[in-house]
This record gives sequence, structure tokens and C-alpha cells, in this order.
Amino acid sequence: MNSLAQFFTTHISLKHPPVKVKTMMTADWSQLPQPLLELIYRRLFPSDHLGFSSVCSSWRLVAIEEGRYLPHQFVGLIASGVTMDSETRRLFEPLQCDYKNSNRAPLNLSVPHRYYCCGASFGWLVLVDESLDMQLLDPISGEKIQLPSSTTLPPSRPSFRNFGKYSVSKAILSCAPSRSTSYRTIVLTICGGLRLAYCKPGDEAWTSIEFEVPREHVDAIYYKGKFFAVYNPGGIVTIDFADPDHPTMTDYAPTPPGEFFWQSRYLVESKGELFQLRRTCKFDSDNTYRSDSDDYDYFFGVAGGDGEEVLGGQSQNDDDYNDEVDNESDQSDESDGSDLLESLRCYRTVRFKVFKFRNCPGCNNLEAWQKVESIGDNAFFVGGCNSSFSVSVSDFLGCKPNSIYFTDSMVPYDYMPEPIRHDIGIFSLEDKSVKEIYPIDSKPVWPPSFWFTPVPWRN
Amino acid sequence: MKDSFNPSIEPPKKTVTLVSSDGYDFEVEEEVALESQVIKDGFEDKAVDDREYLLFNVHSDTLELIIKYCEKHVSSRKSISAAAASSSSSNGEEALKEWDEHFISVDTNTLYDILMAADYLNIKSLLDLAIQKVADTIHGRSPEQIRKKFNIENDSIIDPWASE
Repeated sequence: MNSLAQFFTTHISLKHPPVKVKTMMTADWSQLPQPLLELIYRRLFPSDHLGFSSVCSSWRLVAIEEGRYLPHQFVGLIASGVTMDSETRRLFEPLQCDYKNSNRAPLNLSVPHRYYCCGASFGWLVLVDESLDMQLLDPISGEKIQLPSSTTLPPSRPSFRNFGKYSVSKAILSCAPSRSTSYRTIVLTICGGLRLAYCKPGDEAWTSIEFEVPREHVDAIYYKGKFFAVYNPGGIVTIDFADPDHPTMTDYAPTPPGEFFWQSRYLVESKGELFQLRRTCKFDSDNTYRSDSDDYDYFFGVAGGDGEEVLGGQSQNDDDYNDEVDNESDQSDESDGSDLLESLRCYRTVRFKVFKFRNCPGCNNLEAWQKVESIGDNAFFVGGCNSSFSVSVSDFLGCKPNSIYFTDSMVPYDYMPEPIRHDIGIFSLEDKSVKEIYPIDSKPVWPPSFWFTPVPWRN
Repeated sequence: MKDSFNPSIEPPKKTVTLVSSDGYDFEVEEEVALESQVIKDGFEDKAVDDREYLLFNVHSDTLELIIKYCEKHVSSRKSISAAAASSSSSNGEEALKEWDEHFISVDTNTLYDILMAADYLNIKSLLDLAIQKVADTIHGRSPEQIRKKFNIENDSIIDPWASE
């Protein structure tokens, strides 16, 4: 028997060296041998990787180790907690993207409501607190990186000297900060639209980026080693940090044809190409505007929705006409005596217009931008608080192709009343319809929701 | 002594004795024991009267379940291949899958024991079954719910603003 026992222990020892003699004891799942945890991890749905990685240290190690070999496959929606002054916010199931009918329990992230989140990139949040301090936070690990106080930001207008919590309308990171590369991360902030500033973690103050022509910047992304910012009504500038202490701003693209309006705009990079999105919202409770209706297009003589890719010309006029119609109905609401602020508090997205940038040096605005009716197998994620991004639906199971996922667009102001309903949904470029994916009246509406791509396995 | 080739001393049913960590003997048919790759490897090199295995890591409660699983799979395989040979229709695969599902529907302590034993004895189909069960149990749960379900203590993750 001794030789057999010998055989057995030696055989087993090849797999898990310390073989303990087991008496009936309670299972200790945190001490499950690593090879078994790896097998479990590989069997999980991508959406479960995050939860798995947060269970305990040994599980987390496995998630980090295994995560190197898995594509980054997670988009979540961070929504408010359940009470007005909640200490946590909810991270919802990303895959089904149907928060109305989801039975899945959200993850609770320790991001209290009193922190204003003005940016979300690469799994990091940019937060401003009541004392106007700013920080980067990885809400999964809890890691924080201090940023300069928002009181050192340039004022949004020269005459404007008081700072509020909402001085920053959006913050964008150039890359994910990590211990080895944090000195390279640049945080770009859009301050009330009219000013831009940047910092690197470790700076004591924000540095203003000076430019001569006053422009209202509405979104920016980091793309091909530079920041690209879009200003109303649709022009693009680049901010190049080749010399980290002296960024240079250069005009990059003119306004797309037919764009005159001050609206929410987003820049999205998709498979190496640059897209500009213009979001049209309706600021009232009027239900007569039906963006998904062919009748609407028919009625106003627009030949949209059939895959046209027309530059300028007739379609340009039609789009202008649509916008005028939008504006007219807004004005009529005001003349009806409805409170302007009240109508601003309940808005909803009715459509997106998408332009693709054609990289043709020296071309005019008609040539530079192409209006597109399809973004193929991609889904764009945009919103007021997060960096805009594109995913390929083959990597993110459950996402709808040729769609734009949007969250609340309203940039908060210090004296602005909070919105009274959500505006979170999917716009289909296919049939121009808007589908709500979050109960619009669920309370609290504040703070706004945003898209989040956590990286649970970051080194 | 390699006397297994002598038919005169071969028992009518070849059996193997499995000894659990708490000292219980389980006599099982050879083909059932051979579901374990660990037992199978080098099995032929052992004398017939020496076919006793001390399973230091498997408690008798668990071993009973493991044997039940292996017996079921051996007998199902036979009936499935018999049905295939007579080309009669059979839902054997389907039924076995259902049986597996029922078999693995256990509390997490038992699941842990089965998982460890399946790994220790290298029974691939059972290991797969147990791993899938764990993954299914994790699916859709928050870390806190996972910890509760598996009775795990959170030992490391810093809770942001925990001090507030």
C-alpha cells in the first residue's frame, strides 16, 4: 500500500503541490486552487468578469491574470443610486442594454451623489466635490489620483470670477493613468464651453489653453496622439501636446455643410475614422414630433432614411428646414406661456445626425464632411459626462449595430434646475427610431447617468 | 505479480476499492473507477489484488456522490451506444444532461467538495459540470451577492470613501 500511496501523492502533487488531508470542513472558496479559478473565469459571461474580480484578493488576482488574454468587453451604465443623497451609484448590466426589463442586480459603486462626475474615460471617473477639489477615481478598485482644485481653472468668461461645482462641463483623459505611465496622462477640461484647460496628475493648478476666437467647445476626444475638440456649430480643432508644456491648437476641420445650430455635439473615433454627431433634443412635453415616423419625413418632403449620402444641396436645405421646425415649435411653447425653465427640465432626444470626416487636406467644408446614414456594425456611446466611444458589436455581445446609445445630455449649471426626467436610449440609424432603455421617470433623475467602460484587470 | 491475465482467478465482476479520507471502503466496478483519469493512468500496471486507492482528499460523503455520478455515466453510455447500434431513437443524451443538472444542484459546500474531488480524481466531465455550475451561480450577481452565496470574506478591496 505504501507504494500506492506514494504514487498517489506524487501524482497529485504535480497538480496542486500542498495536499492537505481533508477532514469535513467548510468550503473555502477564496482558497480554491488558482487553476480551478481560471477555469471558472473563462466560463463566465464577459459581464460577470467585473463582479468576479471584486469578490476577494485571490479571485481578483485570477481576473487580472486572465484578463490579459481577454478582449475588453464591457460597457456599463452608471446611473444614480436609489435615494437623492445616495452614497452609491448603480452600475447596470451592460449586455442586454435593457434596463427597463432587467432582473439583474446592478453593482453598487461607492461614488456618492454629492460628487459631480464630469468625465469617464478608460474606466476612470473625473470627480468634483463640494469643496471644489478634483480627483480621478477608479470606482472598481477605489484607487484615487488627486487633480488640481477646480478653483484654479480659467473662468469661463473673463468677467466671471466665482467657481461652482459645475465649472467643468467635460473632462477627457489622453490615456488610463497607471503607476508606470501616470506622468503621460493628460486631462483636458472644457470649462463652460468657452475655455479649455489641461493638467497632468501631480500638477498644482490647471493650465489654460489660450485661443483668440471665442468658441464654444462641446466635446473632445483623444485620437491619434492629439486631442480633437468640436465647437459649435461643428468645427474641429486639434490640441497637440507634442511639447507637453506648450500645447498647440490648430484648426483641423471646418463646420459641416448646413450646420448652424448650437446643439449637443460629439466626436467619436471608430476604427480609426473620425465622426461628428449632432444631437437634436426636444425641450417640451409635446408628443406630436415623431422622429421615427416616415410620415414626418414625408410630410416635410425629406427623402431621408433610405441610405442617402448626400452632401449639401437639397438635403442640406431639408435638414435646415427640419431644424427650423424644431425651433418654431420650441418658440410656440414659450409663447403659450409655459415656463421656459420648466421646458428645459424635460427634454428628450429625437434624432442624431452623423458626419464622417474625410481626411482630405485643404478640402472645403462640402468635401470634408460626409453625412452618413449608417455606421455599420458599430455602436456609438455618447453622453454629457463620458468620453464618447465606439464599439464593434461583434466584441460587445448584445449591443445593437448601427445605433447610437445616449445618456442625459444636459450639462449641469450651478443655478440650473435639475431635469425632471431621464433621456437615456438608443437611436437606430436604420429606422431613425428612438428606443428608451431606462424608465424615464425613475427617481432620482440627478446626478446624470453616463456610460462606463471599466478595466477591472488593469495592472 | 502480473496475474491479471490468468482467467481462472479473475473475479466475475472486476472491482476496485476506493478508500475515503475518513477511512470508509467503497467497492466499485472497475469501469466506474476508470472514469477517473488518475486511476486509469497506470491502472494496468497494478496487480489485481492491489487495486485499492486511498483518496486522501475525498470525504466519504463526497465519494458517494462521485461514485453515483460515475455509475450513472457508465450505464448511460452503454444504453446510448446500444440504442445507436440498433438505430432506435434515443433521448439518452438529453436525459443524461437533465440528470447531470439535477445532480449538480447542490449547496455551495457540496459543490466545492465535488469540484475539488473531480479535479483531484481528474474526472473531466464532472469537473466541467461543476465549473459550469459555479459560473452559472456567479452570473448576474454583484460581488456582495457572490460573497454571500459562496461564504467568502472580502479581504482586500478598498472601499472608496469607506471612512466617510
